[in-house]
Amino acid sequence: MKTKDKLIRLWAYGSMAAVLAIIAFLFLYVFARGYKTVSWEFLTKAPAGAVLGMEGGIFPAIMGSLAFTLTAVVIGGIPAVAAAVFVVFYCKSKVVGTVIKMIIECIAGIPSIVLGLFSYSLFVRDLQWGRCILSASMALGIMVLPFIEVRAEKAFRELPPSMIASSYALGCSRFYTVSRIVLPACRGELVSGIILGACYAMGATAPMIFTGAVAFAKVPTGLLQPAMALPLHLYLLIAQGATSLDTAFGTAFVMMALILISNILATLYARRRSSQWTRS
Amino acid sequence: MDQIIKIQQLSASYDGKPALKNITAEIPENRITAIIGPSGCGKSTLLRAINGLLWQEAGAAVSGSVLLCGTDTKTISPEELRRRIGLVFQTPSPFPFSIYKNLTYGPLYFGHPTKAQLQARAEEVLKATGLYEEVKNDMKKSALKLSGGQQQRLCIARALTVDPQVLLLDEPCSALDVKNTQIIEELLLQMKKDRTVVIVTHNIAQAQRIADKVLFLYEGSLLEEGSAEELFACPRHEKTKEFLSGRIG
Repeated sequence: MKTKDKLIRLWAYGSMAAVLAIIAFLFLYVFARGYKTVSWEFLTKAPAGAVLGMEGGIFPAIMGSLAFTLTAVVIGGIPAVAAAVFVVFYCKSKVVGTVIKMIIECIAGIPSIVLGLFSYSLFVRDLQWGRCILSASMALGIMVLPFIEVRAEKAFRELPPSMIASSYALGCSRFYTVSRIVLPACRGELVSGIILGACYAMGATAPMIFTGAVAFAKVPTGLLQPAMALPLHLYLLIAQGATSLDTAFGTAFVMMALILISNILATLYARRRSSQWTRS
Repeated sequence: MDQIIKIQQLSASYDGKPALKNITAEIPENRITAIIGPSGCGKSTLLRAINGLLWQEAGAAVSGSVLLCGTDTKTISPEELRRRIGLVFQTPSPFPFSIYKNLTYGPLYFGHPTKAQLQARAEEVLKATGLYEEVKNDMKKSALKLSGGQQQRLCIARALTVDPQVLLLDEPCSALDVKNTQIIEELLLQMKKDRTVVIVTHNIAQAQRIADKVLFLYEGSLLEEGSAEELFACPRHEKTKEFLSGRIG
């Protein structure tokens, strides 16, 4: 039995070490290849060069990515949190709750390129919004909706039931309970879920290829304009071959740094909020 | 003695499993009524039926009626009913805010009181629950940082902020030590001057110490009811005798 225990422990620690090593290697490799390219100019200039991206920077792509992400988070985040509130606090029918859960799981399973195709045919062509931030963000928003909903629902369900019941027992309505207790109490988890959803949207390429992201555009000033995006820019740089591989790594470096920093901030915020819950 | 609550032929079941069986009972005004009985006999369910929470629970089928001052509680809006019949749960469950915000939560929902009114109300209920001296300089402290006994007293204070006629307590002392239990018992004895108290308790000695009237539930049925002295001194039903002697529990 002891040998078995040791083997299981060895296997667990070994797997953990392997996973950490792979992640560390990936980050270090990208950062080591990319950091030389990253400069103040690279971050603040538009791409240039005979083959686009060989020279100049990625500023419009950074701003474009932020615009896509923020719009997607608003489009997907609001219904996601609302759906979680409904499922946990308002829905009395088990059947309705199960159907909503099934729909959300189905959305989570839709391949992102299919969401891109849907958004392209509905928003870009039928509604004639054209290729723009809004069209792409609709696809991205649908993509992050289940991601945020699952996290919000988990946070709501983890609240002590007697606390919610105490509010009802005072005679307060569901709306008052949700707005005054549930949402403030879960703010940490909600913000962190939304930021993680934003990271997910920022890294996605497929939903925006046909719907809003373009090879070159100025910094966007409205939602009905197309824009550059970091993942698509990265894809195009790699597709151009060896000439722009350095800038590709630089772009990957910036994208990973943005996502990593956001992730860390989200985790720290959620932890700080949850520490306020514990009795010290 | 006026009867403030009348329970008439109340039955309830969860997903087809009976929890309360045809209960008819009366709760006297400005008295402490204790509901006793072995675990799972339906004590808490009866409490939730009195303040209407049971009707809203998923999977619960309820029949019969509960009258508050002669009015069927089904005809009173849930909010108004719960404002008039407060409920304190077994586990202390303060909201994750400051002590002060816990006490203004209810009044702010039911009206637009001024800051001075809110402050006065908070102080009044803190004094009524004996917490005022302990927290008067720490009103902005998180309620979660109070001790278990203080949290439970805060929950009672919070229930009092909306001035209920009846206060229901579901084993409020089960998680507390002897000293805090004593404080809460004294508090309930004080409270019955102004309002009716119904307490579910597993603790026979506690019911003996504070109750004026006792209801004994067994497997969802009301087997025996009567004044505390009468019921504890000479229980009529065999199951009541067994429960009081500790043979079932």
